[in-house]
Amino acid sequence: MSKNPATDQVTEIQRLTIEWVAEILDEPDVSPDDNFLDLGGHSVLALRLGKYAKERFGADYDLMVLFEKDLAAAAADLASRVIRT
Amino acid sequence: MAGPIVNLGISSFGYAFGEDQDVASVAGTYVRDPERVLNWGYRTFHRAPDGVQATDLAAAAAQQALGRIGLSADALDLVVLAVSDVPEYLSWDGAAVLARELKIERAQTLLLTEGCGAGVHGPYYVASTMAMQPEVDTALFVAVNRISEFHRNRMNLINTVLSDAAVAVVLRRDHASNRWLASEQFTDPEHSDLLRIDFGGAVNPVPPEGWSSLTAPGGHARIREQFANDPDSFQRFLENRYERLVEVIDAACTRAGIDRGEIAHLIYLNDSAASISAVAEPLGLPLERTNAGLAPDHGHMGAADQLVSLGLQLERGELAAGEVVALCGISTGRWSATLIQI
Repeated sequence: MSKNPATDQVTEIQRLTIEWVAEILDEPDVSPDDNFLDLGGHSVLALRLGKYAKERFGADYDLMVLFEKDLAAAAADLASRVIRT
Repeated sequence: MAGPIVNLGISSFGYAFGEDQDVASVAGTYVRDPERVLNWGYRTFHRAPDGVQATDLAAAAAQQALGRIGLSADALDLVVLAVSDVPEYLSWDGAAVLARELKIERAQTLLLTEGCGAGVHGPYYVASTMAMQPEVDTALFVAVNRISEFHRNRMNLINTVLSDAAVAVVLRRDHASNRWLASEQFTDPEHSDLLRIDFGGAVNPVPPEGWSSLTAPGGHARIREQFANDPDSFQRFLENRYERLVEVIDAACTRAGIDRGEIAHLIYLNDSAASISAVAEPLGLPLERTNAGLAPDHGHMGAADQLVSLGLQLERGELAAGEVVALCGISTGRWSATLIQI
């Protein structure tokens, strides 16, 4: 049975978002419900996270979504723009 | 290296700090999410007692700087004061009041109020005065940050813990150490309203009834207002913060006739280690050659940050004779750098 490539990409973006945030913040326990700022993130770390996304997917996180919502929402927003392009 | 346009150097430092406060113990009294504050990495900040105002801190720092070299305040030709938070009064010249506190009967004075970066580009105005007025030989520059907790919540304005302190330096013509090499600054005015306090001035003289800094929206809300519908602009704004710091340091190097690679130490505002690193990395400097080690014990002392770090690092023997130190900072929309040769 073939997989849906778009679904695969959403899953990958969600997974990598958690991984990257954990790496950048040096915080092993990161979950999709966490908020980037609550975990200690700030502007320069957000820019670094955005650079990872740009290199991998050709698009960046919406930083306002990243700052105000949880990581799942930030990943979903990024995925919507990656898949659209 | 080409010589600076005028020869002057810092001959003395003085400090005044508010009382040490443990961030972990008190963060919960300022914000509902103290974990977020703790994650910034600060251990201690300084809080001035309620009756101690900016002028008191500035005068104490100045008296220490003067006392350490046995200089009478009467010997000062120029007094420059940078105040980076809410002043004690409106329509009031804090530099003149500082001069009066020091019992100076007559001197040239200048008040800088553009924010945190004023502690970095303040020495430019001392150098400018010495360049234009040969009779000016001795100047006092004081940078003070005393948070008015009525107006500001020191833990939710920006991603730093705002702290109360003053630093004073005596600058003397032809002083051979801690030499001023150059200062550079520029302003992009687009976002100059970002950190303003909306009341207390002529437009809105008083706050809305029931308003409190403890419950009012923080700096993040202002960011949202400014950029909510324009993520690209927000991204550019954040990127510019760091790129322009390197740009202004490079410009100061050009003016001093040195190469970026000759900078041995970087002193940025007392931000997180990651933010300081973002400025240091393009200069090829490790965190050990920055103020990252001092920042967690002081918090962000507004305009006082950079000269406090310079003085303390000198006193600890962390800076060697001949090394070039780049001080840099940002006020809202204003980037500044000053180069000092130890």
